[in-house]
Amino acid sequence: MEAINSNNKLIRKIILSMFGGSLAAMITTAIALMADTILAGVFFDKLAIAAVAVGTPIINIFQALTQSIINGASIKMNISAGKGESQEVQDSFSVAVFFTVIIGLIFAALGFTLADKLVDVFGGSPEIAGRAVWYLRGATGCIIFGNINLFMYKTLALFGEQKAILRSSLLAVVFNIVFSFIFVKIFPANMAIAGLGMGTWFGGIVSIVSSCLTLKKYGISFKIKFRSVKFAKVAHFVSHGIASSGNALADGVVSGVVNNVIVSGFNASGVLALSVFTAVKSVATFATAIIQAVNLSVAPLFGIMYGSRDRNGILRSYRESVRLAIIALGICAVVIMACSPILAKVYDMTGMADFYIGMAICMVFYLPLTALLRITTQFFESIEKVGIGFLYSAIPDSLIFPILLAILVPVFKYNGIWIAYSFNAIPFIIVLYILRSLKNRKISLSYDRIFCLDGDIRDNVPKIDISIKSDNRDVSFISEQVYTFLENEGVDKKTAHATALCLEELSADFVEHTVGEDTQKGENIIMDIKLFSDSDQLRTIIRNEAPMYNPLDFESDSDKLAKMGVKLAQKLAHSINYSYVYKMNIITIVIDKNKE
Amino acid sequence: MTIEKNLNGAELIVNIAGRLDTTTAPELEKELMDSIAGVTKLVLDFAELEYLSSAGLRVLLQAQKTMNKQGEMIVKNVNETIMEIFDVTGFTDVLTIE
Repeated sequence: MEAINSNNKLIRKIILSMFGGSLAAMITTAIALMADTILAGVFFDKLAIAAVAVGTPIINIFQALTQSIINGASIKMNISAGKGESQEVQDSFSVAVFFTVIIGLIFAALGFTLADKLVDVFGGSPEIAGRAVWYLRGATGCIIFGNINLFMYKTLALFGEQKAILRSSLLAVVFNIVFSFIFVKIFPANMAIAGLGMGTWFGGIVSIVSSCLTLKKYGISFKIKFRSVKFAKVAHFVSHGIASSGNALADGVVSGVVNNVIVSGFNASGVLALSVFTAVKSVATFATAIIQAVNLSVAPLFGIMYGSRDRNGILRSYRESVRLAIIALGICAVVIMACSPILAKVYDMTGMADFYIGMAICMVFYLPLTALLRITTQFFESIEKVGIGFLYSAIPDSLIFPILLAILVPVFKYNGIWIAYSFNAIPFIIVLYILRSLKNRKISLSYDRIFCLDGDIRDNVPKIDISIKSDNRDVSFISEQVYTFLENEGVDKKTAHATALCLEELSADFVEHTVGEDTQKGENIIMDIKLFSDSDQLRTIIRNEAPMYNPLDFESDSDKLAKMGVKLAQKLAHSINYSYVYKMNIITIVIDKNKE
Repeated sequence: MTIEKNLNGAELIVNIAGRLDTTTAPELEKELMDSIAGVTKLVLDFAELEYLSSAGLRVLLQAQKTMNKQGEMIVKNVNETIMEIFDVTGFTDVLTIE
């Protein structure tokens, strides 16, 4: 038998298996976001496109204000799932939906009644103001259903249902088009554009229904227990989710500043410079769908590892996600550069050297550095280091970027734009590293310090951390290794025996029920086994990537012989918890030390 | 796991050393089934048995059922850890333990 001592295998395998579906879902979502602009051109005219462009940022700001609840709830759910607290996952879900609807209704009402004033503030010129107002009024439902839809995607990601995310996002696009068509046709001409906005959130409702049907099998529903509705819980969500929302708001404000700096830095050709920058930025933004897909794939894993206080798992997940993003972005960059003549034609910039130079610098430097920043932001948010996450997300592109732009553009013109846009992360990383080194009084920092891991996680290095094939020989081998290891560590015989036995019984039960005799996949199903030693308990975590199977779920009298091992483990252990998240069966076994 | 068998007429004494787990239990089952025919007294000596899992318990149960029809089965020299396994599973009521 071979015990596979390569501990990245399960994490890498799972992230990769999630990535394809996540990427397809993010690309579909990006298309959905463009849908209203495209439909405005199809059903109406260029002025309608401009009207949509005025209304969309207003909706985005209202959405950003309410998103802190779902962002924070999502983080909480991921961590609770890692701890095996299924009821907390459901409670957080239902409470977050409840409050998102309530607060969304308030903002939607504000958006609807104040539409004309808001359009005035956001640059609605007289020829498009009327349409922009009606579009905004029609789209206010997005404040509620757009956020609920996003929350559904994050929850589906927790359960590894990337295909369901893709299905839901496709439904959102298709029904957006269908409903938009219907509403545009039936509404009076002067307010027909409202139909575009309404089509978006009606499509969102269909997507939500699709997502709900998938979540039902995991026991997740809108059913709310009002005793779990506590303002402290919602305040917790907001405090942990506000970093992402704050960054979205900052981005919106800063984009206006950036545009002005570029235009004024080029004097007469400022508008041309802005259009070149916008073209390059839009291509780079499309490529960042890859980063969003990586984050969607890996965010639940960060939370799960953090919830189970698995230091090695946390760091491995980060490493694998950055690795995946760099490889995927590298491939994407090559494809984009190969297509740059076509893109130049699309943007009417054929022969413009500055466009090609900007594209090259962004593909080589902007994309990987942005990936590092955004994945790190997601990482810190997922481990409840919200403040640090906010710094990573906001400081480089909302503070350093416009400052660099103001300094470099007057001197280096276009190259100044590309340098400021692509390298704004570097001064931030350098300054942060210096500050942390000064704080710790050390030049070189450990990973634990860099990633701000708390003491109870930093010190929680597993005594045993191994991946094995889901095979009975491997299970017995590991059980024996654990027993021998614990004896050598001075653990009493009874505790060592109970730990090894519980590990064997639960693992063997997994092997029997998730790897059948007739499956060809048996050899590829990997089990991660980790053993942690807390002060008075030994904690064993078994994770395998397989169809959902709860070994603890059986009728107590039925099949007595078949479940004898599991029942034996339940009697020997202090506690055994099961959860199914992120396409992983996770069993946590706790044994009290000093049983003798 | 090592298995040592001693047949004295219709009495079979089996010394089991090491681990009786998911991997080794089928081996013990085969050895017993091959040797048990005509035996009226089966003695399992657990003096050197360090570890017992549910797979081993199933083999013991199967052997007990077989010996109930043709004689008796005794388990002896059980250490404290394995005795606890018998206690929590109720096997102390099923097996004859000395």
